Amino acid sequence: LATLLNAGAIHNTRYHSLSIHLRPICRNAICSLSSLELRQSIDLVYDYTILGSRNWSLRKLFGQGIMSSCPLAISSTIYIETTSNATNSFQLSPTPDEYITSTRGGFVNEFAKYIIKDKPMTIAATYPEHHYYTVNIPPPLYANQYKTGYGQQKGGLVTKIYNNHWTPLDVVLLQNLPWYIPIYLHTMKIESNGIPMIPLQMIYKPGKVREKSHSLELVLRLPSKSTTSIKFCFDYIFLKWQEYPPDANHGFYIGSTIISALLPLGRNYTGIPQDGSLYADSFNASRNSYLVQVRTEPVVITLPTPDFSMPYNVICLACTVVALAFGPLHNITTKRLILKVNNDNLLSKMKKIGKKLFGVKED
Amino acid sequence: MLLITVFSCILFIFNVNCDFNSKALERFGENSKGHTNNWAVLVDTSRFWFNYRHVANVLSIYRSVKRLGIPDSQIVLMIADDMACNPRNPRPGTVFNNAKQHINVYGDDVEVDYRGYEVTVENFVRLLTGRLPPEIPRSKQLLTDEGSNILIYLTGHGGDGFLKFQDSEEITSQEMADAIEQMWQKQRYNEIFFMIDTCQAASMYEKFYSPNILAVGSSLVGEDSLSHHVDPAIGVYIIDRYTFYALEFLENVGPNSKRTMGEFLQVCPKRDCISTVGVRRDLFRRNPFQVPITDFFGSFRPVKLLKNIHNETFN
Repeated sequence: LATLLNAGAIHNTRYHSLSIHLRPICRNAICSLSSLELRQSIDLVYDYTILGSRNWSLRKLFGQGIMSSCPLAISSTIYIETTSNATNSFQLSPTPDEYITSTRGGFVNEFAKYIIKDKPMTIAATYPEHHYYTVNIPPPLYANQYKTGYGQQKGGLVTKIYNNHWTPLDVVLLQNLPWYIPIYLHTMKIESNGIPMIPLQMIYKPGKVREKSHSLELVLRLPSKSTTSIKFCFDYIFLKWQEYPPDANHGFYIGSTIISALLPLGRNYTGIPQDGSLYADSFNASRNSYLVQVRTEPVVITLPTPDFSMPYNVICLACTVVALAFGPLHNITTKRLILKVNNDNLLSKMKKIGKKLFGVKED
Repeated sequence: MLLITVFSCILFIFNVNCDFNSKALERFGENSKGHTNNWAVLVDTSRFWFNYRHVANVLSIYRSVKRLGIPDSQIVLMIADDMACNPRNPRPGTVFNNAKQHINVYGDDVEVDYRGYEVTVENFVRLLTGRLPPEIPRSKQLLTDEGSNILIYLTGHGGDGFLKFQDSEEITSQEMADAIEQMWQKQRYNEIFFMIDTCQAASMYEKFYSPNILAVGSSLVGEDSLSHHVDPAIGVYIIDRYTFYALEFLENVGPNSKRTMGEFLQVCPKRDCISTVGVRRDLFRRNPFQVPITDFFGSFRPVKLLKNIHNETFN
């Protein structure tokens, strides 16, 4: 998989994300032995307008084809979803090794399967001339996060969750905030389509300054076809000057809010079931519910930054004041004033000017 | 009476100085292992978009050094800010060093070892002296031995006696000299080529007191090093003068080149660089004109073909 990670091609996408998941799994049915499973995945969303045309190939998407199968793997496979071939047909070349039909939760999906062997290969898809763009049905659950407020004293954070399903949905919202964003629980307002609602359950662990981060976990029952917003306020606090990064005015990142839900329907659901590990385990994997975790965008919070040049300014000013105060005082206390007779005729004046010009000391 | 005491004091001081010099001469011959491998420590210390040229400087030297044979495992690359993925970069994923030639020095296979906030004075000194905690990965350590020739390249904003790291701290020339002396005491280098491209660069190497160092700076104390040209498409200055002419020299150097360090020290005369290139060679025991440039910029990998199989027995 790593051979396909060509930086130039990856950054040409509309959305990309890398993830690593570690979890313990049972090695046998009675779970007497357990092992650690590491799952590395990359999600990429390509845009036809950036690619140029609707026809795609592995070489176009990743900059190169696949050289060979992974030497350490038991199997290396590629699955291409061809469910839309009935409405928006495209030709795959070379022909797939196998076609798989998967029925999941009542929804039928078709996949084309390619087994990667030890020789180089690439896959290409060509669409016919006329483009038919289908209307996309929005997913049953998605969320946004943004900050509100003005000024440098207090601010607010809002998480909006959209439930497009026709039945109410139970979700768990998890938010971890760093210790320098002290949120106030009494300012929390949860509203659904404008009507205030109470969470089913709440676990709030307040943080400690410089020790622990704040953690908020809510269980909400989202009404059907609704927009729920969770708002709370926090104060901006000052950090110690060593705790700011070198570019303090950039701001600090707050991680995403994670919203977990068990969807009742498996439409457009491609997640691997919890008891499976490979993508192939998701075929015909009808379950009672399907786990989905939605992550919102991270937010940048600009904390009020002190003026880092102030220590230098204070030192300069204080030293100048001390010098200005001490200098004349020293002069007055250590020098004696003597009265001198002044001969104001022209010759003595010329002599004085001459002495000054040639740098001779006056006595 | 006063004159006699002053005169005898001066004589006494001269005696003491002479003793010090002979001791230093003895230390020169201490390393008997000779040159066996090459390392490079390339550091860019500037943050923010308008310091694009410093990142382009260090990446260009990285490319040259890598092309001439030093592997990534022996290059420690420290870059203080991300220019390639900066939101202000009109060509994202790329860093250019020449408005005309369009060489993307960022490329696909750049390996940055210290990035962003990790480029600090403490990390730099710890890297040089080797005082890193054991859990630091190998790519972030300078695993040199007494046969290593190290190329140290620093670029950024500097002043008389200091180099600014990340707009928030400085490393002084005395700290730099002490770190290198610690390296000598721990036998972590055979020879060092110290290259620095900042304003008043010569002040950084003036305090060195360890043997086997050849140092070159892009300007003398009191002079500013200037940048070369602006790329109107990107909107910032993209390379500094001294590095630009140094790269021109290195472009004609291959892994088997016969060019010498002496020629490299003469690159960028005053009419090109506007500032005067400063060189310090009193701590270097060889004549730079007899030192091949691949001693520092390339990778020393002597390969000897054996016609028959040797059986080694150890009693």
